[in-house]
Amino acid sequence: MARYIGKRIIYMVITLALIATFTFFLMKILPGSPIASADKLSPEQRAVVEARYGLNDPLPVQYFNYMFGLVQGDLGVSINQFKGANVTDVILSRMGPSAQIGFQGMVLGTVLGILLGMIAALRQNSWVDYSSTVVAIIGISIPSFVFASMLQYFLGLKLGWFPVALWKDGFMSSVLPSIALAMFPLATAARFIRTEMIEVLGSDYITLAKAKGASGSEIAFKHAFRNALIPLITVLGPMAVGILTGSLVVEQIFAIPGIGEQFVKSIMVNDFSIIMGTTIFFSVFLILVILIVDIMYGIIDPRIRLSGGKS
Amino acid sequence: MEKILQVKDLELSFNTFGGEVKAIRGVNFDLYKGETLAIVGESGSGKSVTTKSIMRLLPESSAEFKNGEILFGGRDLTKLSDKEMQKIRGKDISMIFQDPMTSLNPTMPIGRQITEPLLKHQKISKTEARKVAIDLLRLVGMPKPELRMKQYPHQFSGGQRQRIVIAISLACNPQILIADEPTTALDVTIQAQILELMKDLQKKIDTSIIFITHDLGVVANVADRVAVMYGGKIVEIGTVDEIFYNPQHPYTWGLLSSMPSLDTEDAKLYAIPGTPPDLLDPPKGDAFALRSEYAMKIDMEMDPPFFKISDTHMAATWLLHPDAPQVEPPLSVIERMKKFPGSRYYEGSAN
Repeated sequence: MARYIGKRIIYMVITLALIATFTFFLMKILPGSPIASADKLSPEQRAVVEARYGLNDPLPVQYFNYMFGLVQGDLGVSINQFKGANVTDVILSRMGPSAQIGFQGMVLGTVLGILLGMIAALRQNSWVDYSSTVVAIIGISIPSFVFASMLQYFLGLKLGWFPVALWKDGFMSSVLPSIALAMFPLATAARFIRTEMIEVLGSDYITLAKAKGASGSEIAFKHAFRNALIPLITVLGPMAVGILTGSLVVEQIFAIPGIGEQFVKSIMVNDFSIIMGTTIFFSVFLILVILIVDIMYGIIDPRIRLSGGKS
Repeated sequence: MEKILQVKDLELSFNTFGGEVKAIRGVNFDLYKGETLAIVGESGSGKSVTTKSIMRLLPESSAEFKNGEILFGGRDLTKLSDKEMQKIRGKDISMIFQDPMTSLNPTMPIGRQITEPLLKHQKISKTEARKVAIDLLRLVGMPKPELRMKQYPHQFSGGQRQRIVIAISLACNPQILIADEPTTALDVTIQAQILELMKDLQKKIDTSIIFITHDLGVVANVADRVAVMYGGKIVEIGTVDEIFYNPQHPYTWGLLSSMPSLDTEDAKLYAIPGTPPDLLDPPKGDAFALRSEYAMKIDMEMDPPFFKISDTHMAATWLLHPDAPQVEPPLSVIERMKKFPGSRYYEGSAN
């Protein structure tokens, strides 16, 4: 197991280096510069700023300087968005709200989705089943920003249950964005669990469990559930991505001072080091999620338990 | 002998999109205490459905009892609620399935799978159940049972898994054990071991076994009595000697002739011509008539009743009617009949 994780960490580092390289050059290819819009600067001032952030160095030099800093854990400083603030500090200070709504959305979505899928499978072709299908289709097909606006309008404005936007009322502020983010994992989990439960319930070992005298609920929870969970783990990774990309939009709509909101703004103003830093941060996050997913496989499915570096 | 299970005039249909599939069309048999009754027949003859209906393991949404009863311990199993059936399943009647590779839960340690029926049906603690489970594993010939309790099904071979399934089925000392082709998915050497084990266990715990198979070699090895099923009905039932050495139904003749034997001199293996009947629309009269070279006019018109050959032997064929002409069974069957005292071809004790 330790050897396996070690190997995975090496792969992670390689992946990260590639992502950093790609993002770096992509950014440089794009037109615009962090100070392009600063009209008030005189040419002399412009030159001073460019020299300070190394924007005039040859590209390879800039690249190696950046990568060298990255290896040391230095993500650089913000050029214009946060005026000289350390990128790591910026990200860390922004992480709280993002992590909170992301986590809440993920948990809410998967738990409700699993429940919905289970009920749909156990009451196959009943009205519960059909309504869960409808919920799942809505969850997948309505973009999170549409859903977020609907939540704001109905639950926020009309009913006044939750604040419409901003991050001022602690948990209450996080409810609507969490729900908006939960829709995608909810829909995905519901569909996966339903399909898988139906298949598992038709398998031989379920018949054997029945032949042992197990009751309906024992069969569903003791025998079928764990087996039906296995494929869901596979989509946990993509689901985390969904939460992440969803958060870019959702944080904008709800005006939440999170990483997503800051990331979008940094792209608009060409703040190179913030874009780089956030991309790397997101990449690390996703790679970690995938690693966790792989380890979870082994916990839930004994057949793919990892041992000694062999798969 | 004490009758432990009586199946009377059982009729069961599946409601499908295509219509009503009459899978069991009037099955009668008794199971005696301590005996092994083999049910043989080709795919689709209704042998599995019959036993699954005894356990009530068929999907309630499509399978429907049309007629008849299954009497066990004074109760009609076809009428019990699902709750009541749960108390019988795994305790009084248990089942072994065909494919050991898929009949164990892949994500549950086998120890828990064995203790499950114990904890369910008997008032014992987890530690006691664990002890019983270890004893059961030892009983079915699993080496180092203590160490293997925590392992998962994928860590066992096919034969071992079937031993585990057998251990599960025996956990509560059932009165009836239904084995649905328990050796079909195993290779031949393991087959022999599992059959030996089952015979051995039956002596030890004195349970009645219903053994479903399409392998006549297996039948000869394990059964006391044999029921031959065709087209959702039992066509012949008798002791194993009566079925093997004095068969009366043309379908049984066909089955026996299509079994390769060491004395078979001609290289060509006999196969019964034609295909099994479509139970969506069962043929009138004897379901086997269309494939039988012995079919008479009446076979196309009327279902044959059971004719008694001996106290233990019955067959449903018009050939046994007093007015029916004498026919010659296939040569290989005559060869068999020559060895059976009481058959018309008996030649005295052979050898």
